[in-house]
Amino acid sequence: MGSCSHVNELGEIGQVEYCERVRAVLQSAAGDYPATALQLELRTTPAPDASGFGGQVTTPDWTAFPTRVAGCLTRSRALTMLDRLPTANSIGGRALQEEYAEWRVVRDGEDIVRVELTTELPDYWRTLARHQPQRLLELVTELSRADAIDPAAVFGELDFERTDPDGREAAFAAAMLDPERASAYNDGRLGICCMVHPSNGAAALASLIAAAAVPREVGAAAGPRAPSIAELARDLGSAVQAGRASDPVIAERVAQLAHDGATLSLSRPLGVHIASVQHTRLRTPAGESVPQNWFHLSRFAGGGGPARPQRLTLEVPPEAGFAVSDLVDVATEQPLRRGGEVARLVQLATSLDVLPSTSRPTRMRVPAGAPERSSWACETLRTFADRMERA
Amino acid sequence: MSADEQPSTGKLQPGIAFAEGKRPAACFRLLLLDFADQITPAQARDALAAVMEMLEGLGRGQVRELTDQPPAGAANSAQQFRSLQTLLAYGRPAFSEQGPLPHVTRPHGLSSLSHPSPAFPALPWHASATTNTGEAAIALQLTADNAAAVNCAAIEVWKLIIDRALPLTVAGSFDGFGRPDGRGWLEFHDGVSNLEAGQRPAAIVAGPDPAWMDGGTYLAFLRIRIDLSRWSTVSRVEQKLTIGRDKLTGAGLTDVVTDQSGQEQPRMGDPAPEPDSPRWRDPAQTLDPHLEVSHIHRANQTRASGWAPGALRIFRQGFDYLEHFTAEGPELGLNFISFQRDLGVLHDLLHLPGWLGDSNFGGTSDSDPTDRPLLTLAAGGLYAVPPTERPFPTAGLFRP
Repeated sequence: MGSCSHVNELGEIGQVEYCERVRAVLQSAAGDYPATALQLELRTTPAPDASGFGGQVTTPDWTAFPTRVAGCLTRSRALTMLDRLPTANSIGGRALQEEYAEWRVVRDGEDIVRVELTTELPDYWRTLARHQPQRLLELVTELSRADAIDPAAVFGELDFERTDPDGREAAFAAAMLDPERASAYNDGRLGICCMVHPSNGAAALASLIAAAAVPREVGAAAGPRAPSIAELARDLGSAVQAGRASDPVIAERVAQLAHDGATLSLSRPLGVHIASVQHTRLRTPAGESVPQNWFHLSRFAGGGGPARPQRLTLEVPPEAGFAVSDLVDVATEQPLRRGGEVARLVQLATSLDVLPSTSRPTRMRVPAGAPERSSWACETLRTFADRMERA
Repeated sequence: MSADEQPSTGKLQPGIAFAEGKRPAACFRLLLLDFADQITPAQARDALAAVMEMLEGLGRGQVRELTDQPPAGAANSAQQFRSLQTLLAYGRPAFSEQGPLPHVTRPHGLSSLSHPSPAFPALPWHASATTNTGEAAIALQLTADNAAAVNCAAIEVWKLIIDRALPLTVAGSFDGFGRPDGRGWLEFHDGVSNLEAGQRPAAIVAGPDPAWMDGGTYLAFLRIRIDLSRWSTVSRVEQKLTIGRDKLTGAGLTDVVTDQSGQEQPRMGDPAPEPDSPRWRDPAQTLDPHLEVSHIHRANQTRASGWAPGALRIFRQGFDYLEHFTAEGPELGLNFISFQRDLGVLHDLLHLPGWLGDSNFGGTSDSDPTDRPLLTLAAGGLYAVPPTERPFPTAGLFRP
């Protein structure tokens, strides 16, 4: 039996507790949709069914670049906004990084020294804070490339060694996970450890999948079919956001499987991982291809299944003599100037275990149709961006 | 148009067969033009206006040299050119500092294709492609139901340039034809998994970024040479697995089983979907690892709708070509023509590992560099297709 998260990092009690935490998240999500085909247990693949038929895996993938933000604000404005660091008066660009990946850009003057991107869930880090606070501090130090860090930056003024797990989790969440007032070690100024956007947590992912996993069908002349995002969005409400790269792809995939009668389970470990990188898009100033290993992958989530990287760092080796911002994307013919341009090269995925069925499920009928006007909520996004810029 | 409004196809130029039930024209010619050195915006505008006015007249049967021909002759000309459609597009060179549009915002993704290094990691240049002849400032896509219309139209453009000393040069020309049987050179169905008609506008129509492209689209042209002699050595089962479809019916394969002799046998579902049903045309994302690396799945891994921006959907209308025969066999291939709301989608498709970024056509990653690729790139270019405008698309941008 694999773990629900990383191997050997949470400790035995932490592992058990994290599995319970994930189970509670799934239970809550599934509870909102009683007809969902989403099972409550995470699986290590393949999961045999009663007949001995092996389960299969589906891995919908999407770009880490927030397509809705670019569509609503224009690409150029979005790229600028997404990289904004928070100030005393203004929330940073992380508030717009809504594709289950968040990043920060490390600069030396105008040069980009490196770009760090993470898909790690805050839920996991909460558990780490509860049971392995020392390891957590080491990890924050390591990921921030600091010599040492003041525990107060991670736990506030709390004496974390003398506090119970509940107190530590609360202190950690207050210091590191508040999207509006996170510590410099997780808001991008000095580091980025895990995601903080409210849409990027385990609950949002589970809710999206549970909602989409209700068997539905759309009547069509050629016979009933699974719904598209246009049709799902009306039913799923706030569980899905049209216009994103992630939500529609995940929702349509899950809806198709549920329509076909499959039973779904989230793969261990729960979450989103980095599936691939378009390193072939980048050229050095001399016009040479960029080696794949300049994109360093780490924080592999195992859980008994295939290792899945949750962190990516793009960095040019010092001996190369130039910066990340000197690399040119052949698709734009422009040097990299923003973190979003790197995010565009990164493909994310989540894995679901699928037990196909030969029986037809009872399906909810949904009306056919195109997307409703304003389904991307651009006006809200523009107002938010205007406020950020004014602050 | 805002990103959260339904895209309208009302401003798309003609020559894109996106409407329900419409098939691409039978005949195709892509005519590439370059501007003369030191051309001014006014000169460029006047030259393009003259070309487009002439082509518009041609569509009504008005051949310049045959003005005042007898009524029967005029009727014949009108018949020949009746189906002619012209689409005007702008390539990367149009936006160079020396070109007539240096002050116009070049759309994101409208780039030159790398050469001689591969433009896309798994699609090498053909050995004969010593330069890329597929990229120019202007592309005119000429389509019609007969070869005379598209070929004569191309020649009429050349004659107009010569007769009026227009500051344009013909940079290249590529021909092609559509197949009524819906198949390609590999004899498999081609283009059947294109988007459902209702979803096509969302995949095709560009937004206002930059503003001058609002309601237009982007065209990708890849003249892809197919090594048919290599394909003919591949067993039928392997062909089906490589494509992901049944060769005879075109049905998408659903899984692969190993028979008693240990051979892998692809299946089409039980029961197989009805021909022309949505599932037949566009099979769902596969759960079978053999089929996940097949061409139809690599080209469209998520199988999601055109309304899902992350699905990387494009609208294709391909035209085959046959150049000639050599001692080694026929030199032929496909004019891959796609329309998309954003050229970044095409770059993603052709660079992403797991999609078409690490496989020349289908199958597992191409790890053996000595393997002879089935597909090579003979020429190619990326183009902006602005919305319709009188006297021609983007005429208003050629400001002195």
